[in-house]
Amino acid sequence: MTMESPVFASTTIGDASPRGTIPTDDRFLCGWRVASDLPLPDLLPWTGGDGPADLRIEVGPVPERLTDTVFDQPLLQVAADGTCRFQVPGVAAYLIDADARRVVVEPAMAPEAPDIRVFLYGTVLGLLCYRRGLVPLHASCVRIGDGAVAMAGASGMGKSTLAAALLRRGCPVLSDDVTVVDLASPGGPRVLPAFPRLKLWGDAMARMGFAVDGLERSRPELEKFHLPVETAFSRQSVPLRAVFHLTVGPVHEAGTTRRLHGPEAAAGIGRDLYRNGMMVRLGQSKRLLSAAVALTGIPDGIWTLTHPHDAGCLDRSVAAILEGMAA
Amino acid sequence: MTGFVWIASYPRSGNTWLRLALSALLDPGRAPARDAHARFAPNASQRSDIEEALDVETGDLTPTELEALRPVAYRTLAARSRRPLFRKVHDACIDTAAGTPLFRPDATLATLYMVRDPRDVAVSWAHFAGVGLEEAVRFLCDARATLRPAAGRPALDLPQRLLCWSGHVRSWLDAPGRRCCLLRYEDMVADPAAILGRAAAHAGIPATAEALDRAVAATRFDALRAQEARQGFDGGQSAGSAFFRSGRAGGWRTALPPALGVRIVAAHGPAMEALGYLAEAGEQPCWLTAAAVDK
Repeated sequence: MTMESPVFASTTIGDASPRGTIPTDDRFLCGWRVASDLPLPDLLPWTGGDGPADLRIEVGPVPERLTDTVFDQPLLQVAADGTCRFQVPGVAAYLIDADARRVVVEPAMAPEAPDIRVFLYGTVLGLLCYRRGLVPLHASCVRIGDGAVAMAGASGMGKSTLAAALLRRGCPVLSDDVTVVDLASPGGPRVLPAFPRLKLWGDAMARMGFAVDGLERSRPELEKFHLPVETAFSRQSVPLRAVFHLTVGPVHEAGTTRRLHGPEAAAGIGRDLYRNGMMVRLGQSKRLLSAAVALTGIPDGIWTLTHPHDAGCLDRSVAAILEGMAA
Repeated sequence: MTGFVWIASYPRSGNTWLRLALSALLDPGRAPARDAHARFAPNASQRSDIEEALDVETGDLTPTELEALRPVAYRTLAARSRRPLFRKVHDACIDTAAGTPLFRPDATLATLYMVRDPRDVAVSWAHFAGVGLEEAVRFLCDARATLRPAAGRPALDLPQRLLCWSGHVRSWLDAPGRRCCLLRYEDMVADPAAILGRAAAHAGIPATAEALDRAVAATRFDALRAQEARQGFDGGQSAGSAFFRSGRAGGWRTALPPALGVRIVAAHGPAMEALGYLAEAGEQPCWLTAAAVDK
């Protein structure tokens, strides 16, 4: 797999007027048309209709403090009207407006630095989803057959690596780390495809035989790389079939799956909502339970998958998922 | 606001044993579950704590950012919590680059610091990490020693800077804020109820004499070893090694080549002497009679 040079689509979109000499990047994210002053080479170019942008990303000043805050913590502030301010010191501050249709980014480093996008596609995307009534899972997701299968779990559990391993078995990627689910879709929960890249640690890539040469690092200080997967990306939204929650366990239990039912399934998937505490901070506590219960109704259900990281265990997890979905 | 109770120690110094015993005090009448220690007091370096506090993915942060943000996260969680937060700590109590203590006093309710003769620690570490005794001793003498998830294990915890053994001891005994409660592994072996009682009192856990006896009985070393043999115990040890191994004090006398014992004393002599590890039998260690001991 080789890195393709990013397409930088410079255009003017809908109601957006160009400011100064800054071009507007016209991109696709979760089915939204994104007009961005920040270059977003990880996202596919927009190829849909000529309608207005669903999300504007502007570069500009972000106030230090929101007024009328209902949640005020070191990195995240939430105002009573739903406006959010998120900041990673030394990287950028992000202002998400109340209706989640505009994000203002104030970079603390070069605007094209990948660092700024890393947090845009993480916490900021999570906030946008919750504000838009969508449900983000802390999961990477691939398409198997005509359904989406999400691998969820704590940071460091190997979600992206498992997605990469499934990609090598021919499963197109839908999302990495944050999997956006539309619960209101007719016909049941659907996964909205995010962007065609996986973020992988260099050692995991080496074990799987992926070369890191020429790949962008997610942060210059980290051995974590952006692996483009344009040729194996599913651009269409797909019904969510199953969620596998990755758990630690002994080697001899590698690849063991157990289906969760009822309250156990709801509790399990509730833990897999992306930064589920943010739902509470956004005043959406009541939605948490109903979202979890709705997700338990997906056709092939909620599972735990014992996923140690010892040699050979990755293949057993891949086999368990593929066999489970073939059954 | 409440805060954290840090249950701190250098690795292989009885931290898990102490946590199991404290959790048995809080949940009497039940045999301790395999993961009771981790449920009662998970690792302070677990990524999920930092992420819950700051709403940010730790895997996207640089080591420098993480070090700066950890005290912020602990302060945030302490301010949010309505009950004491018990955490295991293997990190040394260092200052961040900005001069903030990693385990800051304004997030701390109490600190229990468990210490063990470094010669026994070296033997135990060699078994745990699956390395030779020489390498284990080198690790205990390395001021840059850092605890990381072993290859093949998920990185659910952040790397933990240990310093060398005596650097670790001093970092906690000299930490700012409320003085820590110093507990010696050897004393816990000799009189577990007394040491558990001191630990519980310092941490604000109510404990009657009967409750202490029950907790001690439920977490006797032979019982823990038998349970590990039956059900297994994943404490992060290398493959094929037992987690609960000897539970004895002074095993180094037969297990550690004399030259390695001498090397440990040469590197850590003053701290060992202060903790009574170089004293003849019956001699009072100076730190245990001085103000370092929590009353």
